[in-house]
Amino acid sequence: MANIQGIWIKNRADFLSGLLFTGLGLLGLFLALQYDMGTARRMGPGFFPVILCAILVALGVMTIFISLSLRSKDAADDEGSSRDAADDTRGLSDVVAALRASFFVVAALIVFALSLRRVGLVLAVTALVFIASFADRSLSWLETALIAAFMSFVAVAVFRWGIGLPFQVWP
Amino acid sequence: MELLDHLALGFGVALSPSTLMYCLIGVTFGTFIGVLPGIGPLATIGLLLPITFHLPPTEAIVMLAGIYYGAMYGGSTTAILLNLPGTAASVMVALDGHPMAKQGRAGPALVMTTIVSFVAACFAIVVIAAFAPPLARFAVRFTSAEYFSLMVMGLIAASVLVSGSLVKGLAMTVLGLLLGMVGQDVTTGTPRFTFGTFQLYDGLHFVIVIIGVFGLAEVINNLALGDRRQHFTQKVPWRDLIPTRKDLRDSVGPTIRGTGLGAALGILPGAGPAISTFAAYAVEKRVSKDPSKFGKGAIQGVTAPEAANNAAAQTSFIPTLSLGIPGDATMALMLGAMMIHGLVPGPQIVQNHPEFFWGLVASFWIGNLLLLILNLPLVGIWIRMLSIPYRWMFPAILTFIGLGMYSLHMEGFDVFLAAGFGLVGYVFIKLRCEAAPLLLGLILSPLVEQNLRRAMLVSRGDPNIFIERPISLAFLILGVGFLLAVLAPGLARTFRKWSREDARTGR
Repeated sequence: MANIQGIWIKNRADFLSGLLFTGLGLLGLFLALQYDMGTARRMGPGFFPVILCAILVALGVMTIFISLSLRSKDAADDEGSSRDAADDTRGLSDVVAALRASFFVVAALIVFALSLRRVGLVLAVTALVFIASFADRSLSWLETALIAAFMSFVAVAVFRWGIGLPFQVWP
Repeated sequence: MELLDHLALGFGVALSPSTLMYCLIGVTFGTFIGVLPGIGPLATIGLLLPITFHLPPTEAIVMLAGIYYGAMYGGSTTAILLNLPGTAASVMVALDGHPMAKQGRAGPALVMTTIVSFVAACFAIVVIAAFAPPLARFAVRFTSAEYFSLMVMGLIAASVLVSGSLVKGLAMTVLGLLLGMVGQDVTTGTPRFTFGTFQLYDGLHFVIVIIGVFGLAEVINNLALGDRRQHFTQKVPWRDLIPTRKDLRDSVGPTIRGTGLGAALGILPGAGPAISTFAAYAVEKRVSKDPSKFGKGAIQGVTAPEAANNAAAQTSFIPTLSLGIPGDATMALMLGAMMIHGLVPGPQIVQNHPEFFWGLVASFWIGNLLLLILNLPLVGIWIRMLSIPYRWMFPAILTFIGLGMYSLHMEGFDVFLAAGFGLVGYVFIKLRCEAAPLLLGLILSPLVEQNLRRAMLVSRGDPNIFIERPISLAFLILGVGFLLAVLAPGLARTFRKWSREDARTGR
């Protein structure tokens, strides 16, 4: 009796990328099929995207297959998973750190982009630096304030005085 | 002498005081931002590109050349000191450069890379002057079928080179091609993948994608890593910066061999610089009397790939400019930037805009010279910059990203897009999907589709046109060859494993 105990995910990163590629390919296919395909001789706007999406789905499915292993549990353990375990051991704190970093970085940029026209360069840059500072716990208030002041000055110097873009400096 | 005339024309364009100043600014800023850890050459160039968009074409392109060299030099600095290669091309430099740095010989490694880069660039510029015009004359006869096949070959070469799985590399390339479809279709005007967003009608600006996927994603990743990110605290005394006479003597052979290999392989579209560094390193290891010292801080392992990289970077202008097919992701970025300044690459550019073409080639040489003059005395400062704590740096990087993206069209939408691509890029890092092929796909996408359409129109819908035309067929065969070259060892291993397992389980 061969001791195959089902299908094992040998490489989690590859498995998830495969899912991502397949999903994006299917989404693209759904959208692209609504465009005019045209003929091979006179290609419409849908022709090339449909081909590409089909290739992407195929590559995604291949990636999923490669990431799986049909082998016995112990064989999978001593090859793929041991290598994977090294950088995939993320506890809850790592996930929290990743979400925290993503959230504050994106929030800082969105607030900056929305407020720039209304409050001018100096205040918008200050807001960006202050919101971004929450993404890293080791930054003190004094450091944040100094960086905000310095970057406001650099922003005005390079983009307003240097290149001469029509940014407002103050509200 | 046609060759000298060309170069004289180029230097005439590139050597005015104002262009020199912009080149100097470019080199300084490029190095300055390029050496900051956690921000690779691609992100560096992407960050500084928006500044050049607001300059007149010649100044902008000369400044680009400066930024390019500064960023690449900054990239090798972080590769050597922190073992963080930002592009495929600097992987090999880190292999022996980082061990040298650990032995306290970071200074000689950095100084030698600067000198060697310059020597290689001097040789490669002559190669360009000699070969670009004939190649352009040859390429004038290319039809859309040849261009399509050439681009397919380039894209395959780029996906083959990624570290990790080949299938993922190919998928990222296809994803890049699809991202390039966003916006109005050129032929029919139909909006594609725009989700009803008016701002997307013009397509995705490649700088936004680069800054998101390479710049922002790196920032998020570094912040999420917290205390585990790379630190550099080591002190490098000034007198240790100077290479010994032995370093110089040991580098002569590798430099010559690396330059030759790089200049020859740089002409390959899709993968020139990266492939040439691998080849140069392998050759050095083979000709060395003592191959065991490679990987442990051999100066030959630093100078040969660096010479190859720079020679290839120069000669990859031959495909980038005369065919419009970039040599690697960094070149693709430069190509995109040139297109913004109305410099549409292709065989015509060499003939119709010689002042642009030769000006650019000359300015790359000047960029390298300025780098040499600037960096020999400043190596110590660049090394010191690595000890700036990341918590001070990331707000500054974010500010530049925000301002740079906003200034593209003076509206907030581009900043939102960049933020979105930042998250996407972070997911790519976590899933270990290398993003460089995506970039090449994104930039080449409109050209690939246009040429496919034209070729199929000419052939009346018969796809055989790509294999009936000999040059086109040759490109496709080369592309398949790249795939097989990478697949063959893996397949052989898999078959061996299967047969071994059959033997084990089939008792």
